[in-house]
Amino acid sequence: MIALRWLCAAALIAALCTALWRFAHRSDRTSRTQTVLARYVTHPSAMIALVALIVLYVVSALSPWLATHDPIEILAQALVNHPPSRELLFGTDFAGRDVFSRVLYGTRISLTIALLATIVSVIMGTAYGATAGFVGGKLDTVMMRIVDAFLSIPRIVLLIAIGTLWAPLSITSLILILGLTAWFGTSRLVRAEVLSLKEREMVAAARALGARDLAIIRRYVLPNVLSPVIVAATLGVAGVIVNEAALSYLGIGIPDPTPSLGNIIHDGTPYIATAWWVALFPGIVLVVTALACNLAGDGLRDAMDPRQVDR
Amino acid sequence: MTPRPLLSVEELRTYFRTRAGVARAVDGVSFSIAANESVGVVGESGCGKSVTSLSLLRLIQPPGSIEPGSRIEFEGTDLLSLDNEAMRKIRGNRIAMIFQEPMTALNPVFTVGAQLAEVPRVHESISRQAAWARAVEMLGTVGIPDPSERAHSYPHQLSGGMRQRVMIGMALMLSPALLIADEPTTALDVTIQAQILELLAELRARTAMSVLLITHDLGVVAESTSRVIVMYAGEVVEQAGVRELFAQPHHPYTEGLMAAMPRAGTKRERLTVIPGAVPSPYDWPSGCRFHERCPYAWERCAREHPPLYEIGVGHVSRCHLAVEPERRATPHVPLAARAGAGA
Repeated sequence: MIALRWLCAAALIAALCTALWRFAHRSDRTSRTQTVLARYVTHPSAMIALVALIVLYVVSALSPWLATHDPIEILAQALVNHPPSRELLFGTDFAGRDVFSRVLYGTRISLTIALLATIVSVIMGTAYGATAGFVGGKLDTVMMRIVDAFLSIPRIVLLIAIGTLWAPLSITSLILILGLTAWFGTSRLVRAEVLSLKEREMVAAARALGARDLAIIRRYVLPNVLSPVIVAATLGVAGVIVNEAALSYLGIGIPDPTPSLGNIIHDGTPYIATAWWVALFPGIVLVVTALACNLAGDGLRDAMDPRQVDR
Repeated sequence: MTPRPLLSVEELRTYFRTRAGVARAVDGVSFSIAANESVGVVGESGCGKSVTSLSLLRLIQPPGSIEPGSRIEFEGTDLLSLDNEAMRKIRGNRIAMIFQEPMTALNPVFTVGAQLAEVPRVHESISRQAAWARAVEMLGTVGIPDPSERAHSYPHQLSGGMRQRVMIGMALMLSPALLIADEPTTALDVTIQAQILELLAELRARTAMSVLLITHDLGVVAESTSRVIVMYAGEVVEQAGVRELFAQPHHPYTEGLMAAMPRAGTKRERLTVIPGAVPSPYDWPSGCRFHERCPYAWERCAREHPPLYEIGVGHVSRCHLAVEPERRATPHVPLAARAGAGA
């Protein structure tokens, strides 16, 4: 029964990949998205990363449907630290919970948090950087020195400090603190981009045709900073996943029994010598996710590089 | 009584107050443009012609500013006394401007149709469909073949000449009374250049707008304007009808510009150059600003700043030769060339 569901999930993944491949290979490259995709699919490591991300997202989105057990249910006293078997693919942890199902649910939570936190940080960083860059002058100097100050504090220390003060953290507040400590780099990037964009002739031309400042930001500045921001966001997802895992590992993040990649690893650490499977499998998923995000980000950056525009 | 001109500029001064000092980029420029007239502004890089055109639209960014005492009157309104919102409504609507580099002046992320359609939407409440229809119509007007298809193209899919046509189309979307064209053909090759100038002339004839054509190329001016303003070092140095100017240039700088123009059919020889370089706007030379580079200069030129002398009907020149014409008989090596040889 479960096997059939997995087969359906695999079919869905295959369908998604094929659709993407088809779209990228349409002969008329009229839209920019298509041009970028067409270049992206020629990048082997980035393509593997993209497929890995699709698999991760589809599987984790369908986790309630694909899981073999309830992730927080204690199966039986006899089943504590049970090694992987046909029935329990990744074994059980110290409390006798199915690690496979916990990893599925944990990936879902970790990816969701990472995605939402990245959205928060991208919006924050873009708004902040665009304001500083567009207005310029004294405001720019003050805003950027604040960013410099925050950037000088190691992020994990900042997270531990805020996390401890704010404890216990709900998922929403975890998303917020992860997002609100991740935007400094993005804001710098956006500011630099806006500074160069606003000197372009097209902005002068838009002004000469009577465009308002807001229209210039909306139509000329933001669409043109989109590609570096998307790249930064993709790379940022990896950072957020790792940071969330670190927080959960330290016991500040997602509270037990809700699984996240970080706290499953945390649960497995004391038993690493005897029950290695508890920490190993979520660890592999964490590494694969972070690596896939980084590779996909690198691929996107290459594909979106304006110097590679084929005319 | 002559009719009220469309645009009249009086004593326009645009200064840039920087840490290095005050750059007097435009320093007391006066001229006027009549309705449906085409006026050329020529001069070397750095003579203030682009700053003049940006000043007309009040698009000078800090640290630059238009100094008090300057006057720009357009259609009977004093542009310098308008508030920002009223000025914004004039831009694009009554006065439009096109730029030199059609690649960088168009937004790479939108189709040209969308960019054209945006212009009326800034100024009027008009539906998306109606704006798009007008955009397509305008693409046809500026001579883009197959406009309804081409409207879906992105700027990078068009050639340089096509992009400049799109720019012109954007500027003309709201039928402005005055079009300022800042070096519109400089980035294009010669055949395309001629086509663009022809298009501008044709559109001017059809719409009764005026054109202020800014260029460093006297050839362009000769082809497409009726009156020429020669600028040097932030000032107007000569102004005349185009025929008169070419037949009888008065100011030695204008003379130098014409001598420096390559001519077809003549024996291949080195082009004449005006010795020296444009002086720095932070520190214009005293007296006549051209005297260091002028082959006729005498003591008076270093001492006394020449006014605009009236040479003929509608012909003025900022040169003391107007009152001491006999000096023209004895040219000598200009100061700048001598200093250059000594160094």
